[in-house]
Amino acid sequence: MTEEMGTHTDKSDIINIPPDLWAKAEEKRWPLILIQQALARKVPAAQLHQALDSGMTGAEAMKMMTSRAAEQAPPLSMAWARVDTERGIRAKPGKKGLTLDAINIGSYGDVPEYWPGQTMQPRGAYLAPGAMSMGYSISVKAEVWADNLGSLYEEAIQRHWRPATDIPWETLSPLPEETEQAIGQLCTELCEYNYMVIVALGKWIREICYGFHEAKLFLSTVLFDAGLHLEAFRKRALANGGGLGVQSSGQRLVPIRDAQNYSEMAALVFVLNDSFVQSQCLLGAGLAQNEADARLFSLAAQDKGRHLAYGLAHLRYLLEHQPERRGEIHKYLQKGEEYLVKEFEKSAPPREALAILLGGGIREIGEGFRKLKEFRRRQVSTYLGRLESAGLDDHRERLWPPMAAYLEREPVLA
Amino acid sequence: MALDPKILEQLRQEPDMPELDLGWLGAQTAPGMAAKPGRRGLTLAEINVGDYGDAPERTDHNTIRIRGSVPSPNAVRIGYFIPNKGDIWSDNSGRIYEEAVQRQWSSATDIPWDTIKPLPDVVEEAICQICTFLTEVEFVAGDAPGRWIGQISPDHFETVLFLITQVVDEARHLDVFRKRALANGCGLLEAGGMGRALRNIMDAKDFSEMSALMHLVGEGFVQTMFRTGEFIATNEAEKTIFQLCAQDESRHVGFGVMHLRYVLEHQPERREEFHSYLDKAEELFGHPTSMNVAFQESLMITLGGGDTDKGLVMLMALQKKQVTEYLHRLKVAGMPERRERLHPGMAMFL
Repeated sequence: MTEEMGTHTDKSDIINIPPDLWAKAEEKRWPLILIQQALARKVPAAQLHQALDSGMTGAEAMKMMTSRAAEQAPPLSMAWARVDTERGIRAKPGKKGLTLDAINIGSYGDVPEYWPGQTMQPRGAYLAPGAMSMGYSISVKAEVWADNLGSLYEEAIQRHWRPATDIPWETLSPLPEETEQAIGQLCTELCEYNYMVIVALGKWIREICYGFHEAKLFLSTVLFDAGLHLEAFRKRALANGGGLGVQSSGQRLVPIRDAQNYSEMAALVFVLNDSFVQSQCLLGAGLAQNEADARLFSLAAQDKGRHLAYGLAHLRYLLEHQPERRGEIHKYLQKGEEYLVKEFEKSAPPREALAILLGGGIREIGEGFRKLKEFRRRQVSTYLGRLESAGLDDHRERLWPPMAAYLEREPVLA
Repeated sequence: MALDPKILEQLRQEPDMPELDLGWLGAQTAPGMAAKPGRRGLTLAEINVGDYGDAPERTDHNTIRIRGSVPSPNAVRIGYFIPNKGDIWSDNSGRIYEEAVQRQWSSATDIPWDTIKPLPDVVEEAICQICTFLTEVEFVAGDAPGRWIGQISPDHFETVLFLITQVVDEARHLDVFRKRALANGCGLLEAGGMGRALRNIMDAKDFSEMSALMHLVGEGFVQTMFRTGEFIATNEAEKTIFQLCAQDESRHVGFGVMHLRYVLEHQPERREEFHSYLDKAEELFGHPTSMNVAFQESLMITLGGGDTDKGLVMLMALQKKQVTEYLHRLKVAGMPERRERLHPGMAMFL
């Protein structure tokens, strides 16, 4: 559990307080740092005992100690200032400010393929012996890394939006009842998905070693985005006379719940599901009948674009550095596809809600279903294109057959 | 309102129409809502109305059902969620979540980095040691909530939303202190000095234990230090960093205080349990073996502006302030008796 038990690096740097003096200091309520400093200034322990017994308060002792011998050199060990870390780093803000990439200079920017420590040692800092393990388990860079992590983190911070005030809620106006309920149903499903992302990421962020802090930072923004989406879609469902819809079966969430390693979770969330969710958000923006919906779905799609960019870059990095895992990734995606199709086919509310929105109303739901087929075809096609861009160009042949069937259907002009 | 059966029948007659259910139309158990934005926009407070606003005292469904949506009998279980609201709740979660979303800032562009000028070596090193320490320890408050987020039911999502803002706040703190350390000619220095206290937070077996150790003790002490940051800072950039971080920490501490108050009001039998958590945390404060020499010395240098005698006096004043404010927070939360039970190692700072 611990890398080394203990609390400080160089025991010689600590001024040891004799146990009897320590006990008396506690009894008399003198700050131990005062005892420590007095011993550092070569005040004999006997004299400190005497002072403690005399009834002198800690404050009085401090005043006495700090008023004398101003000419003395500061009694500091300063050992921490002599540690062997790279010096002379002067990162300068660039066009986008002082970014993570701007400070990745010299050894501070060297991200090792394997980070052996489980402590909270920042990359580039000296680790004092005795630091405690914090139990981080992801110590291989390829398992979490993507080369765009730093820039995506900064972008996420810059493009942060506020559902309470950045959505023009006042532009919402009454919609036909079934249309409004269909939007509520869509929002319910998106809330559920984002809650699942929160559950999954909460589990994995804390497993990532400190040497890969860029991954921890970026994933924190993804967690934050998922929270924003949960909040924003809930607000939308409750802002225009409708309400939340029927809980989904949650089939698509099963593989995410069960993911046994980070890359499995990442493939399922950031590649497969986010690809389908982003296209659904873009569809929501395209079908919006007011500015509020258009903005809400557009902003959500923009965030998803970042998550996808990470997922695909991570997949590419993983395949380049651990090519033996290609088959494993295919399996993860196939499982995710299987459950996603189950959700599409067996869960009526989300399917029918989309058909109402695509058709333009309940009476046009038949037309909506025809458009839904085309929409699914495009979703699958986009997903495969993304996998190809990440280096998984052979997945087309391994696509889960019922999902591949979406590609075979006759396209219908939208 | 449910769909008119005649319309449904007509639709079913259409050629090529897939099998229709449409039972979800009008299935809502809660009445429709048209929440309106208030002075601060459309906040959680505006939508937490009626059935949608009722966070249940107990939840057992273990699915990902969003509060207020219509239950589905075939929904898959996602995991085991903490069933009792009292175990994770705080009445200010929604409000501080909204505040956190509004007050997000960027370490890249909201800090006036150009105000950083060359400093005497010893002061620059001290600042960098403080930044190394904070880069190291801040994200424990990001890692620890992560473990609990996945155990909180969607019925109590406000707590989750707040904890998420804490994670991203701590990410930014890790990031901003690292940036400062690498911006003025020195670099990162010694890490590894606070292991036991941080490990206790990670090892907490109960959400309230984690909250007591992290929000009330750890972040409370850090917040007091950040609020005295003007005495540590040597330029506007550092002042801004400390001010913005202090603002963030205030929210985290605020959650912890209100969570403790909620627990004490709803589960008064847990009072002694909280004392035991605090005993455990306080024991480490001021204990010589947990003294982070590097951090204390660097604070003495910066607080005294290079005069370590003055710095020692200010450091002790800071520690007294930390303990005083800690006790005040506990009093506000409903534990005024903690003053009498304060660990001697901490009481001596008073």
